[in-house]
Amino acid sequence: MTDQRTHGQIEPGHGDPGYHGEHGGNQKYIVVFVALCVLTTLSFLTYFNWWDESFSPGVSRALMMAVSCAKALLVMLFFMHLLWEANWKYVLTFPALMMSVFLMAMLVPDIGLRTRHYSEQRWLHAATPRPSSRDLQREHNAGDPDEPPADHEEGH
Amino acid sequence: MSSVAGAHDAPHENAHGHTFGSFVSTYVFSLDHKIIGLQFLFSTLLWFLVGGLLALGIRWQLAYPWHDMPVIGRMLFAEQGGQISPEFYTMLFTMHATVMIFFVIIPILAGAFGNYLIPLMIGADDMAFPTLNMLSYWFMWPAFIAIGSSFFAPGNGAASGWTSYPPLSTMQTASPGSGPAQTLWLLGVTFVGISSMMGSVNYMTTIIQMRAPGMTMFRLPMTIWGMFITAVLQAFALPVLTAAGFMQLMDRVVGTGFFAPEALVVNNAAAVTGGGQPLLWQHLFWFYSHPAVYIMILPAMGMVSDIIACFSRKPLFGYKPMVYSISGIAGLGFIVWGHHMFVSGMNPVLGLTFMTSTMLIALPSAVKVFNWLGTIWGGNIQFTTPMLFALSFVSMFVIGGLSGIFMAATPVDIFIHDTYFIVAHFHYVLFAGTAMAVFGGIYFWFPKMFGRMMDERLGKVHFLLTFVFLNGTFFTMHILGAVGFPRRLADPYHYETFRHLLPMNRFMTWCAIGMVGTQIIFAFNFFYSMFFGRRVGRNPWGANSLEWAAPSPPGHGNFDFQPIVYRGPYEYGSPESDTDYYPQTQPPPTPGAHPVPSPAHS
Amino acid sequence: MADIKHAGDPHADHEHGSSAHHGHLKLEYQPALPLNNGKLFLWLFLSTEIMFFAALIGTYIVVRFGAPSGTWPTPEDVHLVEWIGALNTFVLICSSVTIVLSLEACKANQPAKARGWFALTFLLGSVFLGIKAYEYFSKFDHGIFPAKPRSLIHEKPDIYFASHVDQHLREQAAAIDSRRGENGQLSVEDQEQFDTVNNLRDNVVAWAQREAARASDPALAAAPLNLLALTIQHHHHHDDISALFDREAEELETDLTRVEMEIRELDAQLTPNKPPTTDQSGAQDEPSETPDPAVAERKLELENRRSQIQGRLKILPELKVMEHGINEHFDWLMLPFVIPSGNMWANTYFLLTGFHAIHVLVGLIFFAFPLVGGAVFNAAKANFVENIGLYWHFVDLVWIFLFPLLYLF
Repeated sequence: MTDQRTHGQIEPGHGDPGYHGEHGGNQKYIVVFVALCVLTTLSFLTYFNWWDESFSPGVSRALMMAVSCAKALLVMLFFMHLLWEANWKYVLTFPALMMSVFLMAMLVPDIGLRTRHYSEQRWLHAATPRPSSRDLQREHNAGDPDEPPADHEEGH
Repeated sequence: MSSVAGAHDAPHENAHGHTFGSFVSTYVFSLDHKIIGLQFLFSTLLWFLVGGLLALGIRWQLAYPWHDMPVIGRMLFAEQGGQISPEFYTMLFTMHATVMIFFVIIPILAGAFGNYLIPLMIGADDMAFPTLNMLSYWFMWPAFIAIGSSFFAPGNGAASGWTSYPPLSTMQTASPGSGPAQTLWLLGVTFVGISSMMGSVNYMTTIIQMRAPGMTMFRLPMTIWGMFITAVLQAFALPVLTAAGFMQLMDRVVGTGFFAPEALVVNNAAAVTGGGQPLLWQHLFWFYSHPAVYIMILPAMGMVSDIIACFSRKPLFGYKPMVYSISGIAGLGFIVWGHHMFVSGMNPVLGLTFMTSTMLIALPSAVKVFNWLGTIWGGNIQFTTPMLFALSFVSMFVIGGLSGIFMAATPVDIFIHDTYFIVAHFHYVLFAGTAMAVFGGIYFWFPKMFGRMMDERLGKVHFLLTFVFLNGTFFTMHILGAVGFPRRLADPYHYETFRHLLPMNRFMTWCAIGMVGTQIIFAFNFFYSMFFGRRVGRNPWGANSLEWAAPSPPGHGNFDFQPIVYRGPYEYGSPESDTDYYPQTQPPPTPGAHPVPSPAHS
Repeated sequence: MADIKHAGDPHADHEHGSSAHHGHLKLEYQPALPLNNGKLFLWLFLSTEIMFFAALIGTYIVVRFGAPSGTWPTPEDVHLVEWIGALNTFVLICSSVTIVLSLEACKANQPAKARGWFALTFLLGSVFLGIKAYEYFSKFDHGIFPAKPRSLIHEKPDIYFASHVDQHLREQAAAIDSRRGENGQLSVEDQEQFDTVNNLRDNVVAWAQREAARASDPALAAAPLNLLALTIQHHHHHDDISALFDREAEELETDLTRVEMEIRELDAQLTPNKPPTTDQSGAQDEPSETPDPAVAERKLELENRRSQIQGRLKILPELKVMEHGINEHFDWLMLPFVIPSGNMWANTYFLLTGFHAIHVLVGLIFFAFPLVGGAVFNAAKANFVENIGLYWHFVDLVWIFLFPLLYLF
């Protein structure tokens, strides 16, 4: 096996006993583990009724996503050792992340907002009856209060 | 082919008496990238034939609608006097496109040329992961079998277009080919995807990590750049198609409703569970399939760059701009997929976004064309067969590229979408472009693959006839399209306004028959030269890149010396060299110059 | 990972000499990245995996938030237990830690310790899959799965739903009927089920269908079908539902008295001495002493109605005591039920968790090989452990996003 030597050449210190303390030993993993558990608990708080009573769903969703991103970052930086890797880490992760975000964003107008363009026929079979335009307007106003109310139904 | 790999290995293995076993391990389950490349080449050429015959079926129906279709008609539609059904016509164009795209162009570029050339051109003894490489070929076989058996399923093959748009593709009862044939089609495409994924990650690793000392990224031949960018495109785009393909498979087999609207009923079948959106498939599909357009052209562009530089005996004009422009094409390629959906009912806001980004792609494409012209300009041009094909690539790509700009503009596209104009466009890019480059590539690297030259005279006849016939077939399509002649319609003459186009369609059909017939010359030349062609040495064309420094054909491990690279691959006519070429491995004459030391990492 | 090359290691050649140990020259390379090929391969593979899960999660997000407003099921509706999801998250986090500890032990050349952590990772992964399997089966038990031609989940209580329920009951009855012994007798238990099925058909499904058909206004027609859906399955607002039943019983009681009164009136009309009312029946050549057919018909109708109402009144108290509806009460009887957007929920849930579970499974297979094969987890094995670990962390990452998206949103 040449692997060991390869590794040794690239990151000197691997394999020797001195390496163990290089990045602070195993303690950092335990710290990260505790952090992950705390974060999971934090997002699990949204499960309880008292949370729902005090925060709107938008807030708790934003919190959960923030928590997830923080957890993902912790896992990548420490467990996947990206903190100590060279600059290639950006090349391999960022393009994929950007494209993922772009893909999801482009799905929103046609699929994410599909009910705004439902035909009568589809509403007939949809899970709920077509919301009246007043409902839509109220929903819209609740969503972004800055914008003036507008009618979303095109062609009607 | 007996002399291809490791002549010194064979007797050694025969001594153990495993003649058959060693044949299998050398030529069937080979780990050698060259054998795998040739396996891809032969398989895809076979599928090329199938795809061509399917195209003739389409052309026959358009030239002689509802006439007795030769061979197929009498075999399958005897009771109708050899007259095919409209559904059969739908199947023909679906399978023609599927075979040509997924089983010919993509695997011949990445699979055949990619496999054969990447290690040779960067100075490696093999791919980074030979076993994975072998698997990438053997994962094509489930695909071959699935698509092959699709022809024998009810409906004689999938019939919802190569784009497989729901709800047509997700309803088992939608058309005769919507049953098992469509499911097999999906499986086939998925397996091609898996194969390409394995290949692409392998190519990227190989190109990044296994270049010979001195072979910096900016000394790579354009072919390798094309392959590299293609691998990147495949790696990032294909997973999305795989995911979408699984969802469609679930919709068909398990009964989910990702792509089915509420209470969708076809042919009085039970309503499917709905709530999904057909447009979702189109977005996910084109997220892959638009980059796939570049997967189908970038390696060809790379190969053409190498061929043109070699036979103009001049350095490639603007090497770095070329690299940046293909990278630019790749990057933009990911944000333009919506231009395939301008008439799908997509949100108009997206239409504008995608129109703008699509227009931008014209810039890097134009950069490439001007660089090729600049390379030829003032060169000492040798009109060999590969050069003829490469030159025709450039000229035909201009036509195909310009007609693409029409399609990029939403208002124009609304008129010409689903007419023959778009058919003309992509055939100019894919056949007159990529296929011609592939022919050129085969003529160019044939001596490396088999140690023998292909016949030049036959090659030129092949080129001339193909060139004439392809323009006869595809250029006329522009005219048809401008009139509004619809694509994907078994009998457009049903409409009074298209009746006068029948003679033109007959002319195209005979050109197409001539084009397919011409390939007999190529097939003959190929197989004849494999065994009886003129034997040549390592560097018959006087080219610079690394593969020409290896033996022809290269043995197991490719190089019989340690290649060290001193310069880029396009140093033609350098004053430092006695010859008009200056191989990458030739040490510089000045004693002071040292090879670039190989840094462990940059 | 077996064919990792000696990238970036020119010194390796000097030891072997440049003679051919694979039958050919050992070539030197100039790697661009300070990684071994296996690790680079794995990172490239992971970035393709990002795209794969982006497509899946993106689909989920747009499908879910694009669903007609207010229809996406709550976890309770679909028997999703949040704390089990949280437990699984915890299990995966633990396994991420154990694999990284195994890697550290490998690097420090402590094979026994490394093997222990490695085995523990395998174990935790299996626990994750076990919990996942338990969750899946609890869905299947409640009839939640994507199925062809259509699953038991209906988007809304409409006539299609009612006839689907009726069809189910009919099939159940036929199935029980086919179990009759030679003497035409059913076992006691079967007989009981048979009666229940027929009772439900007559007094729940047929009742709802009829009431919907009788209603003149589409808005009124929806009410009985709605009640049918709630009768079959409901989760919250138990008091509201028993109130609904109470109100219905009250209304039916008044209906019943009205019907009985009318029947009595008709009876009086139909006594033979009474002259026939002046209507079209005079046109018929019937002897005048025979009862007027229209009146008789009307009476028959009313008597029918009476028995229907009586049947319904009889079953109402039974329905009222069922905790979560018929499906929960008679667990042998799996009737179609209504969850708005429930089908899309099931589709996306099984799609996302299914592909994640497949990835876990693949990871477990790669864990199993060296464990079973008796590999020595020394420093030479560190690259392997690191690569499999990277993959495992990625699987963990995906779950980190899936858990809140699927369970808590």
